[in-house]
Amino acid sequence: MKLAVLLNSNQLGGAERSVIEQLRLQRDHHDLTVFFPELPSRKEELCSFLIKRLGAPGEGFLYPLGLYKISRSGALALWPLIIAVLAVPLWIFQLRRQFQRFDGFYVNGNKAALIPLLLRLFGDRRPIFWHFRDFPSPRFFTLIQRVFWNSPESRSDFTLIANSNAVKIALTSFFNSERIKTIYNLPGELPRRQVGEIHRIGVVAMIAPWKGLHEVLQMLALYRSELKHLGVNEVVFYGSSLYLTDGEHRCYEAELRHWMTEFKLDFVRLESGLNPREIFQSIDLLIHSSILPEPFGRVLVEAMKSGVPVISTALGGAAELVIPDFTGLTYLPHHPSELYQKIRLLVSNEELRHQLIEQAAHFADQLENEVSRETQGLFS
Amino acid sequence: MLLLTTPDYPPKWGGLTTHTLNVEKVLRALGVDYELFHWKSVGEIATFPTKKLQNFKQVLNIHSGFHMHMPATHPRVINFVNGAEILFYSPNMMKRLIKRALRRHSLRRVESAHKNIFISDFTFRTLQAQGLRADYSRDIVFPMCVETSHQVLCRKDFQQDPLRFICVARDVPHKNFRGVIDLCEEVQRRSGRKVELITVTDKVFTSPTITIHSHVNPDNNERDRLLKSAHFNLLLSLDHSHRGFFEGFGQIVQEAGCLGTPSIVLNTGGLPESVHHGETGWVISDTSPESVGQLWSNLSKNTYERVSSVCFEHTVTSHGLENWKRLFGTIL
Repeated sequence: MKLAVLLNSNQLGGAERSVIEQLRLQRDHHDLTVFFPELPSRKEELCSFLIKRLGAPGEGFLYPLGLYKISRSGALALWPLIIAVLAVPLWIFQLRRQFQRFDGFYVNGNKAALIPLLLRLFGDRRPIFWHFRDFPSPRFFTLIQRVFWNSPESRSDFTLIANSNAVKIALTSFFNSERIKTIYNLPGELPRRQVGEIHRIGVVAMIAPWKGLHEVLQMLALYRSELKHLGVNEVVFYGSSLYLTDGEHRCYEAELRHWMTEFKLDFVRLESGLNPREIFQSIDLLIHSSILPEPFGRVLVEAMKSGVPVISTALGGAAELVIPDFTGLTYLPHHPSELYQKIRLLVSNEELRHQLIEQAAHFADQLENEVSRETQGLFS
Repeated sequence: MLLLTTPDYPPKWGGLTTHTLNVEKVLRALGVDYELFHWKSVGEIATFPTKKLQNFKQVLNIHSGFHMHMPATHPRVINFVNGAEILFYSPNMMKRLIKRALRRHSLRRVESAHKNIFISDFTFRTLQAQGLRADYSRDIVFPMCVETSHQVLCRKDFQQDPLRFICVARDVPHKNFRGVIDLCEEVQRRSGRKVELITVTDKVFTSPTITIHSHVNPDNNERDRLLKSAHFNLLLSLDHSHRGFFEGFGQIVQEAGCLGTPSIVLNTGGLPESVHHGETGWVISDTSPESVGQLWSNLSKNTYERVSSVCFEHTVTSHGLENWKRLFGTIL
């Protein structure tokens, strides 16, 4: 099958890494071409990763910036949106030409899904494999359901892929569950390391409020002397603001830095630009602090595969990965004392730490095998 | 010197009074010098002497209403943001209009605080929906704390009759006493066991099937004695945001929890953050026979004892005053 694989972004984030790793499993069986939206931000890292893993840099497709910048809160940038909507007919014409040689579409996210959905409005009936990287928005998907999924025939052209059972359950509100598959995200190749004592804690997430980074900083301010006494010398937040969308995360990084300055958290720093291999070779413990349900939580599997123990809020899809006291430790969001207690437990109990690391690594291996099995025959 | 302001104080009892007394304990434990101002109306706030206000190094408000209406700004205000004050609503139409008109000013005031402590994420999101511009270096979601020292787990015999429920709440519509009685009656019907409900209001509730005892306006010691004697605490508050009422967190859940009495709550307001379903209590969607039946069918002696124990441990560890002591020791 000749598939056009449409990514949601031209930046190399966790979702992009995962889908590219999954496509590697299919490239000997199907002709896959990766496309990404042509946006102002830099795409070199993504292209370089595509060459390394799939042998080709991918191609850009036109995506009006006004449409792309629809914020997470639903607020619209009005004028760019108006201009974008007026340009749609020209855009459709260009897209039809660009994608006419393919048998179907594999779309990695909602922004990317707009392309085949628009083409569908103009009579295109090629199959769409829609890979969900987030929970479905009720408002948006009620509209999708009314326009595109209003008959068994129209639904039969779609295969929905959820990246966790939590996302699958949310999708069943809009789509019949027989056509929804759950395929977990693949972490990719990561070397396993031996973690000794815990001196450097990592928080690996995009800089956004729902990732709960401020709550980790609150805990660090409240328990700084205890953590130092435990031997924790450094806490690093690895991440950047990936999206071009507006929303409550615009000032977030500045607010985090303000907190760090106010409470003199000189052992904390923000870092960006490192890849997962570099990150997990340098940290001794991962804190996953999301305060909203995660669709999946790829960093958790990356940590597990690398032999790094994890402490997580385990909300949403992350709860399918962090099994309490088995593959990691869990804590309640907005409870800094609990997070501290779990760190203390892991630092001071070497036997527990090693037990969790081994069990989590085995779990990550089993998950990879399951993903390989599920991905085979996906496009048949 | 710190100025501590509150709308409620003894001899008036209630959630905000207990909250104030607990904060006082923490300030004394930290050795913080403070002066208490107990305000009874917005007029008293507005006429607070500006010069006196400026002389305080910090202002700590149990209720953010003080900050919204205080006569002048202050560089170091710390607010607790609890609940209904953030809806800018009053049943009185004139007061409602005034609150709405002052909403923007009130929000800008809250934004000018040094720190805002929201008792639940629900409260934080609700105020954001009202127009608050969030600042994560200023706004903190921190769960309510209660006095837990000297408390020991009070084990109850789940199989001993009568099965006792308690509801420590005022008789107002959003506290949903009808739902409380419905739940108790349904439990009695399904279990075949004798059920007793304890209330603390002066209204006389009746039921054709269950026994209802009213202990009118108990003080904190008497309230704790009643909580200890109950198998379950009920807080089935409805979301009456449209009428200016919702449950921000449910402090009574922690007050019951530190005595080993788990709570059953409705999935409204901040209650699902106060009770961790299946671990420290139970969160139900409504008091219909189906919902109550599902709850009851999953409740065994072992489950009850486990939840009671986890509830106690969790309350003491995560909701004891030590947590506020650590927070205030850092931000004051």
